[in-house]
Amino acid sequence: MANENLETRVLLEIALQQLYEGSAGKILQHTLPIYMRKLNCFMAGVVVADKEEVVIPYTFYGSDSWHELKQFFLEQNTDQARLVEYQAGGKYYYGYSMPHYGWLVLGKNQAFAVDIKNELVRLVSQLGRSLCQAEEEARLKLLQNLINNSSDAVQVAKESGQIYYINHLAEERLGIKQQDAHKYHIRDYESVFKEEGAWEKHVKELKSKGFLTLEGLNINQTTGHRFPVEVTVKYIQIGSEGYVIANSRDISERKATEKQLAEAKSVAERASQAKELFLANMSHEIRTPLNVIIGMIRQLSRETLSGDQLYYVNQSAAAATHLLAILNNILDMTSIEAGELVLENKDFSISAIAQNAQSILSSQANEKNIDFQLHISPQVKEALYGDDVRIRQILINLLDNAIKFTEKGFVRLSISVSETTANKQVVRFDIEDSGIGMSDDFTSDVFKTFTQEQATANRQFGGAGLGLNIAHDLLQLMGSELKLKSKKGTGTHISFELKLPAGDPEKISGKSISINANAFEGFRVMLAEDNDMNRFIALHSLSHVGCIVSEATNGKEAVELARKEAFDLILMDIQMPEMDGLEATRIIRNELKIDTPVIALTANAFKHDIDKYLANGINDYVIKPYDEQDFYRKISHYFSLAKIAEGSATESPAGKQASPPLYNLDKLRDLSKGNEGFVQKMLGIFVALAQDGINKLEDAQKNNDREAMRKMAHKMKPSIDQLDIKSLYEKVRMPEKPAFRELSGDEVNDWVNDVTKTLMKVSRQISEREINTD
Amino acid sequence: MNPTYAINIHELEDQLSLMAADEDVQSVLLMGADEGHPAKEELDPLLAAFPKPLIGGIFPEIITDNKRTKTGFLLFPLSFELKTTVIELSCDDSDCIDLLKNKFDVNEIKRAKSLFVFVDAFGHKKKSFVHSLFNFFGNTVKYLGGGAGSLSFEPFECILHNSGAYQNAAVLGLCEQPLSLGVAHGWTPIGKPLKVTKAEGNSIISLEWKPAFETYKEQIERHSGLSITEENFFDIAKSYPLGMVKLDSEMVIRDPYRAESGVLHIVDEVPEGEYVRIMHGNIDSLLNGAGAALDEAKTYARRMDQPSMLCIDCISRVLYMQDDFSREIKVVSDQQAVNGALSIGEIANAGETFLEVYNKTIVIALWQTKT
Repeated sequence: MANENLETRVLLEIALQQLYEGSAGKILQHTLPIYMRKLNCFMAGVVVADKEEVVIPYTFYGSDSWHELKQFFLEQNTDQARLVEYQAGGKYYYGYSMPHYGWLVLGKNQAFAVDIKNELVRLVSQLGRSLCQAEEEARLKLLQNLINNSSDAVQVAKESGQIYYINHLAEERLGIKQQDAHKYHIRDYESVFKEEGAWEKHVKELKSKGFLTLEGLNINQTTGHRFPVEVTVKYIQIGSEGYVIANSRDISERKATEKQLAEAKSVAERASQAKELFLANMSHEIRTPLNVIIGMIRQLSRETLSGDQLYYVNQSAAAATHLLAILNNILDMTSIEAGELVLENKDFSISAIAQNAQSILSSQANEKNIDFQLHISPQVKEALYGDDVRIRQILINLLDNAIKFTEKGFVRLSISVSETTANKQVVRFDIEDSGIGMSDDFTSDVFKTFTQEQATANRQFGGAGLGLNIAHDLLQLMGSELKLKSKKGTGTHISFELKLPAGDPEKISGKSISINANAFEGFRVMLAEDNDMNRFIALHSLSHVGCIVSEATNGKEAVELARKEAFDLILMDIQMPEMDGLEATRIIRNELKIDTPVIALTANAFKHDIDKYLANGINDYVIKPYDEQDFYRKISHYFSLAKIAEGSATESPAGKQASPPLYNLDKLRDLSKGNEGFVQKMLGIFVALAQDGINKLEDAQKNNDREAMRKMAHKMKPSIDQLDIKSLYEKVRMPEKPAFRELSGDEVNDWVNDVTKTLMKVSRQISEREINTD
Repeated sequence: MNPTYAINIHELEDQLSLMAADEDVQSVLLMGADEGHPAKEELDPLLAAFPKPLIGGIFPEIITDNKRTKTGFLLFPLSFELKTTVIELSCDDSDCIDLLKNKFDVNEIKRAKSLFVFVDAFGHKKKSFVHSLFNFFGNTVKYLGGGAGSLSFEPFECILHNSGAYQNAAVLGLCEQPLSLGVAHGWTPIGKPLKVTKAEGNSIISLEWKPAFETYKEQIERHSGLSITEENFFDIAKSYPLGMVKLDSEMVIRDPYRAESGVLHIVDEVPEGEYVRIMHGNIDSLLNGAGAALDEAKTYARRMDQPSMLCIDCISRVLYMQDDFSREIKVVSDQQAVNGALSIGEIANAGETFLEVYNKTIVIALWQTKT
């Protein structure tokens, strides 16, 4: 046979025996040996960019020659069917490109004849097409498999509604065989589309929105099982054909989980409510008798007692107060945990609360011969804005601990300023002691409640051990952090900083005055309280200050009393039989239209209860057991200040220090030559001038008009000198000095604030002086 | 140590003991003759006891010291080590490749030069095995071996290895020793190529879309005037083998041994789609072929000093030549005694072609003996 004839026949045989179906791997496995045998090759391989290579023989695969061939052919373009020849090591390599697939490389010891090597181009290209098709089919098959075996039921309908395809799960649910699906229209088994036009409307909506998600109930036609489903429906277009694809997912598990979560939430909420109710009840149950104890001790202390008796009463009072503090701590902790504790900010004086804390604890310190020191920096602003009650609580808790754990030496509270501007201050509090200190292990757990070490310390030194934790939690609420350094046997140093806005000294809540007997003489008060003892205590407190008291033992009696008589104040217990205080207040407000102030007397200390009272017509509240003076101060707010017999009011050393007059009338009196009327007139002029000066300085401050400031200061200077207002002597002269123009904006603002405040104070002192002399 | 002959199993045992003790002997090729061969139960303990790599087979006849013999064993000691393994012929291509991957590591393959292969001539999937062998080793090694078995065509445990005697198996011995090979047959074509239009296993059903035997018969009758029938088939067909036409290489001879219902039964496969030519030869052409094989082997062995020689000759050449076969041995013996096996099919590939099983072919292998 002529070689050309043989070559043609060989090529024909290759073409005939070449596999055109099956997987790409199968095609190559079958075809490459044919090429090798028929064409007498020592190797055949397929070079592909990102697929698994096939090389025969196996030993060629890892060889340097193959690596070299790969490098070479991967750089070649495979867009068109072509032949690229390569020689190396005396061998001939023929690379035939399979467009969009790779290269078929044949290795020969002897070169191909021209015709055969060129003829192979078409043959191999055909092989390449088969491989591409095989891959495509494999991909399709995989996708088909995925859809067919999906855990969602998949239905595909044509736009007309005729079913095109359903997967295995849909087959089971619908009770229709896959191969019969095309015989059905969607409305044959979806009742929602039975109505004329319903399907078309649905498709129209789909087309505009792209997809829809629906929830519904399915019935598995094969098992009869009912279950909730979530259906996602999508419209797609392929060529000119539109299809609606519905994916139906069994959401039984999800629904069950949701139900479980809802139930768990409900249980948790009920548990939480039960806990709150329990705490509220316990709080009430403890506070009520505690109120009696404290109230009775207070009454007893007013009697004439022997030395021993007085000692017994004082000890009882201290114990009861201590018990109340523990109860409050427990409730505070609960409130903080529940996120219920809210800070109540107002204008206050740091030095006042620090001194108050010191006075409360000084007796404890004295008993142990501990030097209790208090240092307050003069830079601390006169008034700041914050929750003074909680800050005092923090200081008392920390100082109480310091005193408790110090046997000898000192306890020191230092208050200083870390940063200051016109509008705020960062105030630093340092509590140091020479006490027993804490070990490193104790320190690491010190803010954790209920640790073993805490329990040991509590047993040894007394206390519930909550004070430090509460201080820590309160400071966290205030955006601060408690820092603690301690050394066993040496002592402890606790510090924290509070960033507080500047307050208004004028707004600091009243002078901390002691309300004395008959201070509220003639005021008519209704007292509604079902508990005889509590009523007795309150009655005595009110009678002591001269109030005329009418009593009610329940809400119904309170309403009747309010209907018949006019009162200046109503004190309403909340928990009462027949009608509670809240209902009684509602009737008094809404039906009787009486707006007499109502103060709730309650043992319920929880914020949400207080909020409820205040939202339902109650003006204020007093938590039982109450401090009598605090009680008086609260009720005094609701009586007219003008009627307070201030002559009976005295400054208490526990409160804010009485400010000495900022002015002196000696110079003015000298000038008046004893004419008091002249003095009064001058004082009146000063007050007017001061007001004018305050207004103008504040305007100048807004405009940063230092010249206006200078003018006003200059205008007021003589009056200030006349009244010998020493604190303004230097200040009023500052704007006239060149250095004033060099001051920073903050410094000028400080100057204006100081001057205006002092002017206000002086004006007030002058006005009060006038009242007293009236 | 030179190749030795053992007449029976007892001598075999003694010879194996000697070779086990000889430090120069690294491995052994063991070729037995079919007639009176010991049973597997007798052979297995001997084989297992031999401490060095051993491979071989039981063939229709063996050649020992220039004489063909139908009984006994030829022990061929090798001065180089063989890495051996047995492969069941029932495994498919991918399993076979995996087996080979597990057995031979990359470095061994890189260093290897030659591969001895003995296969059960009547094993299932023999062709598939040979292809798998090539798919694994390619042209990295030279192949030398043949088909073991009996002319009775009855299968038995004819493959030998340290682990025992096997049937329907092949045994391999990989080594770093280069071999110089000569392969030739001496047959020449008498007619035009014929397409194998239908084939099944080792049977050709049709040639040029006509019953195979019919087409075969036509060409023979045209050539020789002899009338070949199914009854006298073997007597005439032994002179008329088929040759598979190959691109760029010598034809591969195929040995028809029976005709039945128009189907030609061949010793080894002739795949459908192949082109074959009917071959013819005579004693002289065959002897020329033997000489050519020796010359080819010697071409690559010029630098070898006293090389060892192994001859794998096709039993059907013997059946054709009859007593004249001694002339073939004489042609091949040259300067040294001829030792080897008369096999059913020969396996040889010097690296030029796809690995094939030859029929009616003589293979001469020379390698450097360690001195």
